[in-house]
Amino acid sequence: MLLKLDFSSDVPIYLQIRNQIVMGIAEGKLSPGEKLPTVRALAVESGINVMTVNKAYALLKQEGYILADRRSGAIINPDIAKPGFISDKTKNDLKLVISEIKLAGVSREELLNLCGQLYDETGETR
Amino acid sequence: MSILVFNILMFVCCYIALPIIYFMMRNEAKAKKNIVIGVTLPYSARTSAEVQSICNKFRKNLDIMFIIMTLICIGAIFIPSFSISFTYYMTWLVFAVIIPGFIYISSNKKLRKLKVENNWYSSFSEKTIVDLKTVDMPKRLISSWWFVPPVLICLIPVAATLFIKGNSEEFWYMFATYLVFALIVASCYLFFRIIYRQRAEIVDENTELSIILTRVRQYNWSKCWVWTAWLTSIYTIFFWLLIKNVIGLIISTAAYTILVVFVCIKTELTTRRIQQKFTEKSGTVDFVDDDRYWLYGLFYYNENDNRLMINNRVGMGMSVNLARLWGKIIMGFAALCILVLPVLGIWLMAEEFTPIRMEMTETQIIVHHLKKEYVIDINEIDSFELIDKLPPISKIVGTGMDHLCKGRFSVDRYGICNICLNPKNSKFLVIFSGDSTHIFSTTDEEVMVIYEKLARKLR
Repeated sequence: MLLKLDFSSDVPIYLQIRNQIVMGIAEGKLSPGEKLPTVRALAVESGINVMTVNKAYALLKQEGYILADRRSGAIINPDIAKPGFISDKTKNDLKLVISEIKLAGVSREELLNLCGQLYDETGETR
Repeated sequence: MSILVFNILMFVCCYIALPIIYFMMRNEAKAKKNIVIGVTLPYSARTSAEVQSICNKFRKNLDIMFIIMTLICIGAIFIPSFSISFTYYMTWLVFAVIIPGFIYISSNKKLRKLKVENNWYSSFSEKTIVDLKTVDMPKRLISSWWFVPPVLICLIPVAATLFIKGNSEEFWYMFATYLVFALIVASCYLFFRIIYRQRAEIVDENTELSIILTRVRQYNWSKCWVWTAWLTSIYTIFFWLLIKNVIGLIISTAAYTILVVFVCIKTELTTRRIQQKFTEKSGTVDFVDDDRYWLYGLFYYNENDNRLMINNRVGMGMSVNLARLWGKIIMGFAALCILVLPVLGIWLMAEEFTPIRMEMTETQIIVHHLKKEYVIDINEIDSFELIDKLPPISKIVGTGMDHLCKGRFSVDRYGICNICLNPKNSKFLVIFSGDSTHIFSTTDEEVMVIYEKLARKLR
């Protein structure tokens, strides 16, 4: 899978790395359990700062897309392949959005309808 | 050494650069990894008539340059002076580097213009492309242990010099020389490591192709550095054993230089040939294009790249990132080294054509040559003599020309001496003063006059 880093873009480089890895997983270019390059190797290869790659990996780890430990490096979270897998971060984000919608006076039924409508709009991802 | 032999040696040493630059530059007109004369082009563009016309003009200009520079270089063989010949060859060498560079830049600019006019770009253009699958390739293709024997071999003369010690002045020169050889071998290992830290050679989305191209370069160049380390260590041993044999030293130095240059050129040409073969058909869809980071197709300048050393786009080996401070320093130093060569020739001309002056005052004998001055107190002279023939001499440090020898020399029968003389003369004044021995000459008449004055004063 190719990372295409655009240094003239307004999107920070760490976010470009994060977004492209997420898209790579969604498009099947990166498989669950697949090993990712180490932070240092990716920094050397792309000529960017180690901290930038570290930030991207930390974000991916926090969102549950990758698992990282000191010994084996980073891998794509194997649980992503399991049907119905939702990361803790996504659950928390969703909880916040639901709270905001509830405060706006939207009923449970209206919310579920809206979700169904939005879900259909995004189409099949994998 | 006669002036003709010197000129032939200078010719061989300098001229060798021209065919190397010529063939490497000419090779740039062939597409390698979608790049033609430093410009990345899609597959369809590479065979277009306009691109081919620029490539043909580029080759033709290089051919003309090659013939003219060859004739100019041959013409210098009959120059009757060391310093003029040296200045001529050094100036020639600077032009032999600069002129092909200008021809390349001119063609590169034309091709870039054509690329903009035809919009020969891909979705990868203006982006830094990283293939995640090529980042963590298993590192070493050749074991680092290959460097251990050459390093140990190089340390033999260092250890032997330390053990024997001998004359203290000579010891330090020899010790420093052998240490430099050992450092060259160690730096081969450093470059060997840098090869594996270079960015993968990605031309398009084909990961397999990227791995092959990267591995081809890594394998060939790491092998080249192993060869260079071994050749340097063998040359060090020859240098050590033949230190008193000038002909042996010249032959072994020439053989070493030719072999190292041959290994480097062969490595680059093999790498290019294989890469050319594998990328013949690439560039049909998306292709990697980092032309914007290559100023005039020659100099790499990328502020977003932390690396200092990068694979050279033109010629052989590696180049530096000019956006880094050390890149600017290294490039500036390299440019200075090339440009200073003709200036060195002017200094040599002053050395060769300034006559030696010798005078005797009431208390001292003073010998001047340019900024160098030898002052001997007459009171401290133990003895002196006039000789009609200079014994065989060998330079330790200083200037050794056909008409001027100046500095510290090892002289048969007299040992280490400070000398300032014209070896073509037939009268030399030898002065023994304390631990030092001096040998001087200006003109034969002047030496005779000083000798007689000194004899009257001291006897």
